[in-house]
Amino acid sequence: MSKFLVYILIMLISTISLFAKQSFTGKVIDISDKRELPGVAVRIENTQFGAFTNNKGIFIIKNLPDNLNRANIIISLIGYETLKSEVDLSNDNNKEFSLKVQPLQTSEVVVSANKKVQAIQDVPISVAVIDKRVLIDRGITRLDDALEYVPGVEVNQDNASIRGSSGFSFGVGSRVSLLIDGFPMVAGDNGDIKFDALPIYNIDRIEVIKGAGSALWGTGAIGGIINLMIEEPTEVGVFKHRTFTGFYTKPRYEQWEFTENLQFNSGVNLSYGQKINALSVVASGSFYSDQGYRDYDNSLRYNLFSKVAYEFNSDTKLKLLFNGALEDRADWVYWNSLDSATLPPTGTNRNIRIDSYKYSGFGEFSHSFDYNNYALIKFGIFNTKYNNSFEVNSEEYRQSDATSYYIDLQGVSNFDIYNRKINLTYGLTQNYVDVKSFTYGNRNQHIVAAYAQAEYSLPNVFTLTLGSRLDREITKGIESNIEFSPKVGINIPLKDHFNLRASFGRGFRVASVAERYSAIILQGFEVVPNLELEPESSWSAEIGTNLQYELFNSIGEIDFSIFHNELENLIEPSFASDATARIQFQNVTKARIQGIELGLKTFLFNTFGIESSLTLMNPIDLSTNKTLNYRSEVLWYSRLILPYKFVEFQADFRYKSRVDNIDIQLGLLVNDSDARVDAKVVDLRLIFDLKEFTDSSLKFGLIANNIFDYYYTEMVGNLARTRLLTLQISGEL
Amino acid sequence: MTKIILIIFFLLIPILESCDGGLAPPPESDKAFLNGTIRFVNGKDNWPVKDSVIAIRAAAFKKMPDQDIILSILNGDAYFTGESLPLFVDSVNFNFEIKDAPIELVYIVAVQQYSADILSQRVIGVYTLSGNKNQASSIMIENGKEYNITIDVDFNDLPPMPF
Repeated sequence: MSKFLVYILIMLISTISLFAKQSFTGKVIDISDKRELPGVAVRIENTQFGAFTNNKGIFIIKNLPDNLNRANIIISLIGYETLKSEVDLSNDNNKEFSLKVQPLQTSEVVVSANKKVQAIQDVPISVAVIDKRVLIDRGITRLDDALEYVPGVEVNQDNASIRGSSGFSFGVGSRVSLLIDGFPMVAGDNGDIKFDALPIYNIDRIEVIKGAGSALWGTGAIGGIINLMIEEPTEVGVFKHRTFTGFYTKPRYEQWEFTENLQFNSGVNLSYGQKINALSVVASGSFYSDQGYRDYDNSLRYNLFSKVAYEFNSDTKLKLLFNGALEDRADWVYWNSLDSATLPPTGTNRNIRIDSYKYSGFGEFSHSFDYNNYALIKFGIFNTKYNNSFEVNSEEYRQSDATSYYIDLQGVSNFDIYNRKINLTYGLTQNYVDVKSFTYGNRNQHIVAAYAQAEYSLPNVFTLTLGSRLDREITKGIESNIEFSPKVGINIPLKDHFNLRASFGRGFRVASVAERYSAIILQGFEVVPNLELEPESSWSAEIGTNLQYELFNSIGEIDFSIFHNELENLIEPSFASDATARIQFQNVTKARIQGIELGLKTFLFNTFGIESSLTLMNPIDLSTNKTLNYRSEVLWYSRLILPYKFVEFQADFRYKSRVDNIDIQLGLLVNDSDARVDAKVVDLRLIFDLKEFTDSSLKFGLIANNIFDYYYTEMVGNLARTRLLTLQISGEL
Repeated sequence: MTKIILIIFFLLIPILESCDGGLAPPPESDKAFLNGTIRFVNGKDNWPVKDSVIAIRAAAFKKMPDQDIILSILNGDAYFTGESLPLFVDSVNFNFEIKDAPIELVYIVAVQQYSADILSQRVIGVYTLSGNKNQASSIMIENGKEYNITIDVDFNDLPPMPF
């Protein structure tokens, strides 16, 4: 394998592009005040070609083939309406493009749906995007907090669920794939998402792809994919900073007061990014301290991140990402009772801490052979370690050290058949997991895969996507699994800015090391290994429409979809079949989730913005004919933005219907496990943008999370975050 | 004017939705408690070997268990201390909040888990007013009241299992 990689590397580096080349240049300005806009992303659709504007608003896309006459370009900048335009490369050179201010983002650009740059309305599946401005305004420091506002997504404490895909399993065996710039970031032992270990401050946007996506992304993409896209530096060096401090207000009920003191939640982020000739660098450091709104629920977090890219020439690039995170936290699991909801169970040893370390390093080497053919090699390593502070000989001692090694060889080719454009993406990938654990033993897991996806486009008529992937697990001691994941999608532009889409695809997830090998005793229950676990799988089908309109001087977007998911062999913790009280992860559940989703975004009368989405689901466990455990049937998110001069008022409302069913075993352990209500949470913010009064960007934010101090459980026996009042200062120099 | 109405409408919906406050601790006046002490005859010296005592729990049954203690608990027929009470002690206190009072608790016991299998449970002490371990006593629990009981455990003279 290593010889093959070296051969590929040499081949890529030594390739000399012999075709003639041209450049395309232009300028991007603000439509209202004609200001030149720096940092605007200008990309040619369906290719890797693109550039950012400099501080005079000028971009140059180099090395385009001489025989290329026309192309679609997508111009995007956060805070502005994305512009998609067909250009004549010779006649439109030096053209000026005007962007319109759009406080509520529509027409986003995504790459995760098909591993390439596309306008959101052109993809065949549902996609939601959160941009960095929203993350900063909301004071987000953890990914799970950001996901709570995404249409169709709910977070059950440590589990992210897209359209009901996941319940609650302390995060083990995530049914959503997490990626950073396309690199997988799921822990090798538990198969979970480390929500605290991500470079939130350097995220440009979060793309959430809904529905099974294993045809491109492999194991884990049962419910969908979350891809964190890291910001790109521009030629103008930018130093970013954010400092915040806030406190939890005293609870309304005397029984829930556990301290006389205010409990603070504070943090600081510093980041610098610049592109200097061929080298571009982003580096950041973060620190967070949360004293918690519950007793014995405090944490300290540290994060270092950097992204370095080097362009050997305009055809050949290398990108490297490094991320390190440390967390020290109390071992809060669930409450004592509803009566003392801010206290852990009586007798909890409060000296016990959990320390965790997460390190990752990823690289991407890409090379364009010509305008229509390019290849890339992605490689990476992701290490997670944790242990609690019990004595090693204690029954409750937990420790694990897991390392995932990842490599992906990918090619992209564009060609014509009968004058119709075909875009082909294909590749080979492998993922090897090495676990050294007191809790799970010394284990490994090895998956290899091949994938291909073709996109056939008849401009203004339809775009058809066909893809499939073959994965094989070749873990020692485990019967080899072969998984075939096909996918079909179509997008039909019915009219200008009115698209119909339909998709059908399969997802699967191989059992994690934790699910397969757990051998622990917890609260009198014995968890035993199960080497017979088969992969769980899903089939997703969806039909949807996307309409972008301008009515009464108001820009808006309506998105509607109907979805149907069939899930099989779901891996759940269950009593072992030998009628003892041993718990084992087993393939037990067959489920069906049907639903509709309606989203609306509009900026009315050029005065205020409204964003609202409603998801109605019917998640049924077909083996019991009851609602699936830990699933809400209604999710409703709304957002209001009211800008006035240099102040912006923002309000979020989040509604999540009560979880009807939970694991009976968990109900046994947790007092008042039936204390569950609908979640109805309002956040308010006042953002003061002082750019007009200072030389550089500076914002003050007054943020009130859960302003009405509404009490609900995020998970059984876990009071969700109570009212938090925060002052935040952020800016760029 | 339309703008203002729309803004107010969008702000009012969440405010009205959220004003019920959500979860609350149960009011003191409605609470009923069963407090108990388990006394170990001859103190901590009379406990069995360490390997055979995984956990000690107290359980109060609304109806007599007919097959298995844990299954009755799983079926919601009993109050119990989820985590183990302290082991190898002379006596230990326990406490239940009785949430569905008024109710009669017909069988109140101390239970020993003797292996890692949670089904491995045996009754080691019974609440009885007569002193006869074959005759369990019941208690009628009323709202707003607190009850105190004592259960004696003699590892050398265990009560009969109820089934």
